[in-house]
Amino acid sequence: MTSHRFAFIGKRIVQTIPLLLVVLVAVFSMLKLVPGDPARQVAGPRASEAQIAVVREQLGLNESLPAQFFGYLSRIVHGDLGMTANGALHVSDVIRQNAPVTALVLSITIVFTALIAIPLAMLASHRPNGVIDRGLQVMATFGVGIPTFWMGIVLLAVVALPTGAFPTGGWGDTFAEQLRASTLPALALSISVAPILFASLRSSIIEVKRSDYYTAARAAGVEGSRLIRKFVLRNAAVPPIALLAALTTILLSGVVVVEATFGLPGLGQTLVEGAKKRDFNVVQGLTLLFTVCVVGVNLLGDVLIAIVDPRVELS
Amino acid sequence: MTEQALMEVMTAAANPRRGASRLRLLDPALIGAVLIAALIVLALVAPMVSGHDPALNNLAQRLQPPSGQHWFGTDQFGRDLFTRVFVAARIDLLLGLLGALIPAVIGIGLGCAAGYFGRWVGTIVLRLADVIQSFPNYILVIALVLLLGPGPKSFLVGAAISAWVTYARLVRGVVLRIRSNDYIAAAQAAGLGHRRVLTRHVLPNALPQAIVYGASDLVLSLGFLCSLSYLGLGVQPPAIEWGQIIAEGQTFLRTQWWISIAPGLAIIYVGIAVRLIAVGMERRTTE
Repeated sequence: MTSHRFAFIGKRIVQTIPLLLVVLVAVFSMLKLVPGDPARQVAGPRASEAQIAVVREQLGLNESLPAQFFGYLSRIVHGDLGMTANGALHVSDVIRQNAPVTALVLSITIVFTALIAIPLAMLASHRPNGVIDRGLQVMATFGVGIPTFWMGIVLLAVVALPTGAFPTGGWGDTFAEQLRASTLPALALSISVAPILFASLRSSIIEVKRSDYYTAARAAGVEGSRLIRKFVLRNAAVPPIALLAALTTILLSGVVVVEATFGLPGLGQTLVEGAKKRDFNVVQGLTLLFTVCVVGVNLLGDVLIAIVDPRVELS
Repeated sequence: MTEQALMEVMTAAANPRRGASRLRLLDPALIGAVLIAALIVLALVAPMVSGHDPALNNLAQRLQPPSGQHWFGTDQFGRDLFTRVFVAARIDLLLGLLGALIPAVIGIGLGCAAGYFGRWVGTIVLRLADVIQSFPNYILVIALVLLLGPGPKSFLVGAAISAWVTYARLVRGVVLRIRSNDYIAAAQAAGLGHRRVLTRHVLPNALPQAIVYGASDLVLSLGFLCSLSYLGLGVQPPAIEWGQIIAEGQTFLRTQWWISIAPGLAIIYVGIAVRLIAVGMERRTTE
């Protein structure tokens, strides 16, 4: 890597800091936006005035706004996201406990998505606008319109229930059980994500194949898998990598839904349950976590582009 | 970037092969419009057609399979599913449309402002868009549910906050492109005010693309609404809604799978119809 690339990456990291700060302010403001008295909301409907006063003190609501924000910031830096509404658990522990479920489902989803989208995009771009290409495009168009939760239910009805090969809900103790429990949710999710990756990759492969350097490489005798790997996929990967952050938001939204469909004890379920029980710290903590993930992946995408793209604009 | 990829997926069938496009016996926009119109009519008359009240419990008839009396079967309270699925279209179509329309108006407005006035207005809008796009939209709405409570209000506010971004980026791009054209400079030189230039010259050029995207966004909006209701955070009973019927039916998936399947097919039906309209419009704007 040249020093230009390092400078570009460094600049992007610095540019991310203000965005992260604004996101933090936004998540922090959630508490301020609660209609009525936030302390009363957090304490719950049956709390006495004294209990509400305690909660108000705990939330630091008696201090000035900037002081509250910096207090919030310093707690986050120390990994303290507060307690759950019933006061029994640290939100950070709940997250630590449930995160592996979501992480496994997302990982398998990414593998499935790549396995579906990459070969099909290569197939479709072989003859642009040919019969296969058009067929695949129409399939992608319909695939993206199928609601993820409904796809999950169809998989439950068509695969899990008749064959008994996959559980219809719940997690598992061993890794093998957990893999099995994650397979169908991941498949349901990748069916709605793969079309987006497919469409992006398909058009970028077609563009690469029309380019001069591809013609030059072929004329120079580069062939077979080397041609595909070094010239086609590497160059064609740039637009899909630029999509990474957007795909991440879709994946994180989708995983919330499939976790509900398959009854998986992951972060999505924690979030939904938290919202239903009006558990403020849980929802705030998870909103922050998910959003920081998106910002992080966005940055990662830019860094990847700087590494992968031979023509990266270093401005 | 997202918008481009999404647009591409959504309107993939929009670029027909040469020759095929000359055979325009069937306009996709027209087919789509007819499909939607048929659904709206059925949504309004379904109780009369089936002769069942969508909200009437009949425990003697609970969990019946599809039959001559109950075309889609019945649910766990013995309510007629055919009637419920079509009556649900009323709420789903209305809220789905609003979930796309409200952000469209906001986004087109902000996009015009960002592109036309440029400089710091543009910068503010784009930075705001960056922040909004860092929040996955489901997570944003679930956080809103905490503030506003479950229901259509959270969905609509969430859509208004999150979905305008794409419209704004799209419209800003178009406005930037046409602003450099001579006729805008000529119009300004002729003494036309900002408002007149915007409404007479800029907006009519920026609108077609936004409308085509809007059709795709409508599909996303509907899926979003149904997902939220499925999670129990969107439309609440006794209102009848597809996502909710699917969630209720999931309990009986082993034996009465049709309960959850029918509303999902309805969602896909709307998706196909709306996308046909988008394809038709896309063809018109590209010509």
